[in-house]
Amino acid sequence: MSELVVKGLTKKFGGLIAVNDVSFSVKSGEILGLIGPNGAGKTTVFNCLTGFLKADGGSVEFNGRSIYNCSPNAICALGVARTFQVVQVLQGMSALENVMVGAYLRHSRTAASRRRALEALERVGMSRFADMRAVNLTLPAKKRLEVAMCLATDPQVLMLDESMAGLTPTEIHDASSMICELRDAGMALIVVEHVMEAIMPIADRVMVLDSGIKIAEGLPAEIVRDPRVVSAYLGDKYAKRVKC
Amino acid sequence: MQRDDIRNLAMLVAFAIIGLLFPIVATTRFSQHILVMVVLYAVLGEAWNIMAGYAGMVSIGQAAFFGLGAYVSSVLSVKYGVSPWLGMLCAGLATAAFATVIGLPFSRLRGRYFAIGTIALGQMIKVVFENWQWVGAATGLMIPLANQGFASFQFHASKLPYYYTGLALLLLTLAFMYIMERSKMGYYFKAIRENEDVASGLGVNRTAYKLIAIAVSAGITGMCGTFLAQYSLYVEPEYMFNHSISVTIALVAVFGGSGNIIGPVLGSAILMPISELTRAWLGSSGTGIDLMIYGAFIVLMCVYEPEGLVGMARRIGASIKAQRERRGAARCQNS
Ligand SMILES: Nc1ncnc2c1ncn2[C@@H]1O[C@H](COP(=O)(O)OP(=O)(O)OP(=O)(O)O)[C@@H](O)[C@H]1O
Ligand SMILES: [Mg+2]
Repeated sequence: MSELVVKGLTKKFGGLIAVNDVSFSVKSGEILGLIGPNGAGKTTVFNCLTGFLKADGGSVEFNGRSIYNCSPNAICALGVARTFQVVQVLQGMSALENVMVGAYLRHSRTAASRRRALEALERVGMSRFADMRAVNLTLPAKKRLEVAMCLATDPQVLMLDESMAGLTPTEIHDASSMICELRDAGMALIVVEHVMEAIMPIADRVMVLDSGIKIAEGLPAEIVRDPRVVSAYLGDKYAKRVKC
Repeated sequence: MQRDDIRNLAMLVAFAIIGLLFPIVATTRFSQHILVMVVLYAVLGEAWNIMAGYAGMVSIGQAAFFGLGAYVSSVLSVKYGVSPWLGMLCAGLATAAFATVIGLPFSRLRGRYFAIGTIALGQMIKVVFENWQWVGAATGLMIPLANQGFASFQFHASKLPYYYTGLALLLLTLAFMYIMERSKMGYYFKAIRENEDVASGLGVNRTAYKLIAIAVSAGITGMCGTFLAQYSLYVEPEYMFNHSISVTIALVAVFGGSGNIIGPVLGSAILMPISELTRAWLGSSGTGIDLMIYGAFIVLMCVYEPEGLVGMARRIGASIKAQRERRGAARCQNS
């Protein structure tokens, strides 16, 4: 049973407070949806939690241990992995090699790492692309590959930053069922997504950010009716109309 | 996988045999000198390859490590009578240690800034040695003549023993790289080269692995410094820390194709004879025509084949294969 607890997380870029005193937690076997309009600070939260940016305040505990402002590799080694909003893979290496880099974290020998990597590729349905150079993969394939790379590190917490953006409805369906399988296997997931049809059905809880501030948290059904959320997305006019 | 390994082993053996056969045709001292330079720069190119071709840190200051290695063993030998073989080991260790310390701030520099930093490092060390009286300042040190033989690492009658020594060093380096390429280390180096952020997000300690790459590269380069010191029997800042050494090392690797094992060997086998021959025919007049021809050659290569000879070979191989497949398909249709 693992748990990630975030308290009062704050990140400033000069005068801009991109993340303002945000607290939340996520446990094994749970999908936390993270939504909010463009520039709300979702990616910045991920960057702070995974060590890619140094936060300016707050605390982050993973299984009772502080990972606040630790290095990305140390955080990954403890079991927290993430994908990038702008897909990032090792372009010049084959898909299998990309995943093996992740697998080496827990398997130092090449044969074992390769085995683990093939499993992870299988998991995301990418086995047949194993030998293709990452640069030649299509965007949806790269996104799957990125997830496989994370899975190969055997994470307990997985953060997906708009992994389903730009996918077709069938692909979204496949991705959703994979995410649910991971949750059922006991992983904790934080999923950032703009596609409401994709995130709402699978999230156990949803948290909403707007201008760096957490404005709401609750069950998906509550969130879609929350006037603050509607106004953040569509403006006050619509919020009033929903209330009536 | 298995077949690949056997093929690679066969290639290495064939390579070693070819290497051992060369001296039959190389009977003059000059041709032997060219052979020595080919193996020396092949090793240097491979060392550069570890750091730049695999781990993505392009260095144009390898002369710093090279000269340091040359001085370490020479000082030990001249001042304390230490065997050059032990000196070579010390040179490797000392340069690796030096590189680790220097590498700490350097590993934070990315891309071209790293390259510029290494150029500055090469120049700085040269100035230090030019002004350091204890190691002979600008005049350097002469290594006292000893009876020739492998014990003293000095050969006066023929240059071939130097060639064999260099060849052994090259084979060791290639064996190391072969293992590295198939290990966690090799994968981590490449991951850092491709995308540092992705690598560290997957648990790669990028600073540690960059330092390992720099240290290994510098250590091998330092040992090559000892090799050249024993070959010329003197060390001098202008000679051992010369910027052209740094440039030649990078060129040999890039020309042959970096990021794979065979590239720098090919690069050295082609460029070093050209460089030595143009120097012999046109050089020493001080006009630098040799360098101009050499430079033009490199420019052409960079423009038309930026992936080096290995890239060229791969492309030709792929097009032959495609052609054969096309012909095969046509034959199927006809019958
Ligand atoms: N490295 C940075 N330097 C300066 N400002 C930044 C940086 N990264 C993000 N910001 C700013 O911080 C705010 C939050 O950005 P962030 O990328 O976290 O938003 P987001 O919720 O992920 O948006 P989107 O849905 O568009 O991905 C934005 O105003 C953005 O311009
Ligand atoms: Mg974002």
